[in-house]
Amino acid sequence: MTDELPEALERWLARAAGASEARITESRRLGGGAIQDNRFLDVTFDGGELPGRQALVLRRSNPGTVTASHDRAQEFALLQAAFDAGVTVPEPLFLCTDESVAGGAFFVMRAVSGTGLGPKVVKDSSLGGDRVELARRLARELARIHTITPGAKRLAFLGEPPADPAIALVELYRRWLDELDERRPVLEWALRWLTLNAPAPSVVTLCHRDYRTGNYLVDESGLTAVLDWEFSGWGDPVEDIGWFCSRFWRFGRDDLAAGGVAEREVFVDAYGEATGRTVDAARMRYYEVMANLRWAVIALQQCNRFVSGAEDNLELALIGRRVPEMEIEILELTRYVP
Amino acid sequence: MSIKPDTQTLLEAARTALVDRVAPSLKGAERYEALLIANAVAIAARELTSRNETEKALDMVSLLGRETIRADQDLGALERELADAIRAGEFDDEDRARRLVASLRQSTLRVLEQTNPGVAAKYVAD
Repeated sequence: MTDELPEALERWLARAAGASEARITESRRLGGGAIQDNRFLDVTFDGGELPGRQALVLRRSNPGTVTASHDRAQEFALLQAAFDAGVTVPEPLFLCTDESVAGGAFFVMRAVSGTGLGPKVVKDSSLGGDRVELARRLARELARIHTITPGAKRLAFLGEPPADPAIALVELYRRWLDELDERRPVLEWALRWLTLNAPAPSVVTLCHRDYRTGNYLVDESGLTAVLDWEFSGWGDPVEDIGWFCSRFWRFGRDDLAAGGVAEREVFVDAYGEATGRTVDAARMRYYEVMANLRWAVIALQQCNRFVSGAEDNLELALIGRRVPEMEIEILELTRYVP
Repeated sequence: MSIKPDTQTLLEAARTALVDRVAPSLKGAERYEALLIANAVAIAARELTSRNETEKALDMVSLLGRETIRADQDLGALERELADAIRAGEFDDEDRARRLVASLRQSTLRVLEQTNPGVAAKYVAD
C-alpha cells in the first residue's frame, strides 16, 4: 500500500460504521510484518456505531504470503472467535473483501497501545510489569484460546479437526519440504523422530500457532493484546506451549524458557491451573521439537521467496542461514540421554 | 598470486566501515537494512574460509556405511542420499540413531559457527 490512501477507503469506512462521513486525519505504517501490512489510522466518524475520533488499525494482505497463512476474512473470523472467548485481542470491527477499496482485502480493528518487538520485550524490564505475573497472564490467555473447540460455524473454514494432530503436522511439514525440494538430513531426522515418538491423540482445540514473545503487546503494567491469528487451526493445545517455550523466542534469555520472560514452570503451572489439565513433560518436549521443525520449514519457505527470484529482499535471503539454529536445537532435544 | 588485502580482510573492512561509520548516522528501516548487510557480509566472510566440506562428506559417507566418496556425488547429492535413508527408516535402530545424531550435531555445529558463532558457542560449551 502506498502512503496515498484512496478516498474510497473513507467512503467504505463510513458505510461500514453506518456514519454519514469518515475522515482519515492520520495514517502511518506500523513496523513488523514481512507478511502483513499494518497501518495505524486516526479516523473521525460523523454519527454511526463509532461516533467521534477513533484510533484504528487496518491490516491488509501483502503479496507473496507463506503457505500456511489464512486470508484476511479468515483471520477476522478467528479474531472474532478469540474476542468472544475473552482473549485479550484488539476488538475486530470491520472486514472488507472488496480488493478495489484499498488494493487488497483488509480488516479494521481497534488500535491497542503497547510494544511488541520480541528482543525489546525480553530486554527492557520497564515493560510488561512484573515478569512472573506476565508469564502467568500469558498462560491464562493461552488457556482461554484453548477453550475454543471444533464445531463453531464461523470457523468451519479450518476444516475437520485432525484425528491424530501430531501426525497431521508431521505430514504437513514433510509436504512443505517436498514442495521446496529440500532434503536436509537434520529435518528428515526431525520428521522421523516425530513420527516414531508421536504422543497418543488427546484433546483437540484451537491452536494459535504463533503464540510467542514478539506476537503480543505489553505496556508498563502488563499485557495489552495477543496478535497475529493468521496461522491458527485445530490441534493439540500442547503444540502452542512447545512453540511458546522454544529457544527461538527466548531472544537470548535461555534461562527463561517461557518466552524469555519467566521460567518454564511458572507458565506451565499457571496453564495447568487455568485449564485443569496437567501438561505432560514428554508431550511438551515433543512439541518443542515440532516447533523447531516448523520454524525451520517456514524459514526455508521465506528464504525461497528470495531464492526463486520472486522478491529481492535481503532479510528473506538471510532467513535461510538461521535454519542451523533450529537444527542444532532439534538434535539437542532428540539426543539420547544415557 | 596473492592479492593484498585478501578477500576475507577486504570483507571485514567493508563490514567495519558499515557498522562503525555508516550505520550510526542512519535511522529506522535504513539502519535495520544496514545491519542486515553487515550480517550478510560477516557470514560470507566466515563461509569463505570454511574448509570442512570434505570432512562433512566423509562423515556422511561413513553414516551411509561406505568408505569412499563417489566421484559423481557432490555434497548436495550426499545430503539427499542421507536424508532419503533417514526417511526410509534406516536410522530407526537405537545405536544407528545415536551415531546419526552425534554426527549431525558435529556437522551442524560447524555450519553454525559460520552462520551464528554466538549461538554455536552456547552448544559447544554444553
